Amino acid sequence: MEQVSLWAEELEDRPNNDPEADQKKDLTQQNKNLRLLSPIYQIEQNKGKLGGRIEPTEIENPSTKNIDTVYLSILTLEYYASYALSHNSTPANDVIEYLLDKIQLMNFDLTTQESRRIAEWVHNSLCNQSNGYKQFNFTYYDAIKHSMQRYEFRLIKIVNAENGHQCKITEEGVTALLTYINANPKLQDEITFLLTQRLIKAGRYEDALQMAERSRKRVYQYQEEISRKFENVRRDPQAGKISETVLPVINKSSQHVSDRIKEEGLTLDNISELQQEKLDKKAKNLVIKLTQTIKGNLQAYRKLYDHIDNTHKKFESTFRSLLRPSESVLPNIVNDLLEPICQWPIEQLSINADQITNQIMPVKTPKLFDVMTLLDKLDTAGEHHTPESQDQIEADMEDIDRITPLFPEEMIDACKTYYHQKIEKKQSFTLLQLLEETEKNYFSVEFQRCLAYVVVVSFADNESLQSLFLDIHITKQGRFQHHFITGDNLLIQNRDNQ
Amino acid sequence: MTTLELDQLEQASELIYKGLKTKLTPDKNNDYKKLVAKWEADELFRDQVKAIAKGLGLKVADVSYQSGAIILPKDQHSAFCFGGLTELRKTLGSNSEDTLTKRGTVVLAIITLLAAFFRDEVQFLEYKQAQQTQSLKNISRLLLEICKSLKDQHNQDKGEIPDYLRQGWEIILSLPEVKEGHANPSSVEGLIEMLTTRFVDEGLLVKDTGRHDEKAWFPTQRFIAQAERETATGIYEYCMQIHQEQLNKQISEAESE
Repeated sequence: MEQVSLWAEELEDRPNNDPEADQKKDLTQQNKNLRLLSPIYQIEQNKGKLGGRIEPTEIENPSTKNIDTVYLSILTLEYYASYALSHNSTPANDVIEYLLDKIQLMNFDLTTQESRRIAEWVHNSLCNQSNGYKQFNFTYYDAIKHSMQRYEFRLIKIVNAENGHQCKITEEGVTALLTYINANPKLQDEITFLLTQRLIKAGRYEDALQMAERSRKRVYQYQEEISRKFENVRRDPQAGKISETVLPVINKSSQHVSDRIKEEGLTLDNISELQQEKLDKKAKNLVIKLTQTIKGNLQAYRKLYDHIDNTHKKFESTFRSLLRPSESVLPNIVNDLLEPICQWPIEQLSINADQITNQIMPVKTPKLFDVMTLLDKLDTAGEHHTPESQDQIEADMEDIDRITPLFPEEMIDACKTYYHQKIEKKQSFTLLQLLEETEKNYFSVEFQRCLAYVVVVSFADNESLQSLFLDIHITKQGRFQHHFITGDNLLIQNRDNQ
Repeated sequence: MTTLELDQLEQASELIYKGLKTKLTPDKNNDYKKLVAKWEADELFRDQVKAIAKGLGLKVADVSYQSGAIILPKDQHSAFCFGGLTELRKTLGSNSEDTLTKRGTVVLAIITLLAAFFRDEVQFLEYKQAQQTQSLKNISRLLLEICKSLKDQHNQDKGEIPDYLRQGWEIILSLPEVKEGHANPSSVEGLIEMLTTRFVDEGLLVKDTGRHDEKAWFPTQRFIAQAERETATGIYEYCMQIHQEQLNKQISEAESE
């Protein structure tokens, strides 16, 4: 895998006898960097299909017709670059919202949903979504090595995919963003510095400001480069080589950054001289802005210095850990596990199914049952309930159906009074006797039923307050059959009578 | 024991408790972050957490700001074990009979999922750089291609490979590749899709919601850490042991004949 190198290979490393070496080197670098724009142009080419879902024969999707996706891509990179130094990552949603506004300015006819779809598509294509967010892969001709080389890179990378994507621009992303992509960053820095100085002296503050802003973005490029170099070294199994490869990079970086800090300081001095001169209002404003930008740059460089310092510390600890006996190498799951296991007899697979599943899945907290949960489980006939979210529970809540009373309250009261009177008058009587008597006295059928109900309810518990209060004792006396009521006959006795 | 020591024990147990809640991550929970910081700074605390975990039949695989505490069952007899295929039954919709074939195919599909997301050491390093997805098609293609190559191999040198070494791939190849209608476990893609749904529920995968043309999933930080620390090596060693035993048995049988 070939990567863009911030510190281009030293010229001494290359064959000296080639008079065109310099030119070849520049052109190769330029040729390679041009590949960074390929993904952006691919989006523009495919925009009619919006992600390639529509058959080629179909008419172009009109929603993307007046949309300049190249501009949108550059806006996306610009947005990420401006947050790169101060934030570890930026939520992809913020960028999509930002693009949404720009898209609606391009074409007023689009609905928010269509615009969002386009914004998401442009953003995700820059991340190489259709390829599982892997690196873009392009080939270019290397004039020095006289061969085709592969160039793998990302423009934007997803740092965290949980709870909405968190993305970050890569070093190549910044390179793609900067308009002059031919020179390597170190050279660019020197040019920028010289240009800024010259522009200030020439009074072209606006251009100087632009230069200063550009150099800020490059600070971030360094940061990414250093992180990646470090990661690459960690992958390198040959620990012995580490001191040769990484230490010089770290030393060089810190030297370079401290130089840059000095240069920015010099620029600031230049500007403060300017401030004493008489300037028109517009120029004064620009100079103030320029001062702020350069101060910001200075701060960013100091941050980078810390970053390099930290990397150095991290490197040292890794180096120490490499001296310890290393942990076993992770197996190649595809070749060493999946392939042999595909040949297993089916019984073997089946017997070990539970063990294998348990090893892959996370822990499961054992469930403790209380009686209610247990009953609930039995009630649902063995179906396993997964805990639902609070929202769903609220949405599923239903009113409990109220059971309408069997008899109107007044009738029950009347029956109770009638029943109590009977108890006071008679020492003992059965339910059947009571019903027959009521019928004789031409009470309604409904009243008789209600009375039977009241009597049966009073049978509930001989020790209940009601029984004690009425001073009665009720026992079962075989079954009885009335016109419309059947059931256990009840003998109601006064307690004194027992 | 002093109040301070008791506090410390309480915090140690709390870290384990939080680790058991597989969907909780430190970035959403400040208390959790503090506990992770304590884990990183305090060696005594680390030992306490490990001791409590051990007593409960658990082990601490990893603790980090990204994925929190990754707590796994200490061994296969732990009460915290996932529960095997029985636990997956609801997801896969099979009710009464877990036939041999069905259990076998599910296992192959689970290992395929693991292999698709964590092919080898390089893939783990790639995740440290940036997140990547695996699409449904990619995952099922991985399994099918391996099975097809095994079939070709078998057809080439028929007499040499014993019959017992071909059942897994024969079953997979006999299934329809693409599901018809709703996802169901009777096709390769259907089975894998249903398993990924369950993996999402368990906090191991996250669906790529921004993708409209195809289904694809990201592994969570937790899944990556768990696989790197424990699962990849653990499951490989476990299966290879069985594989070796199986081979030895066959060889000794062949010799006795």
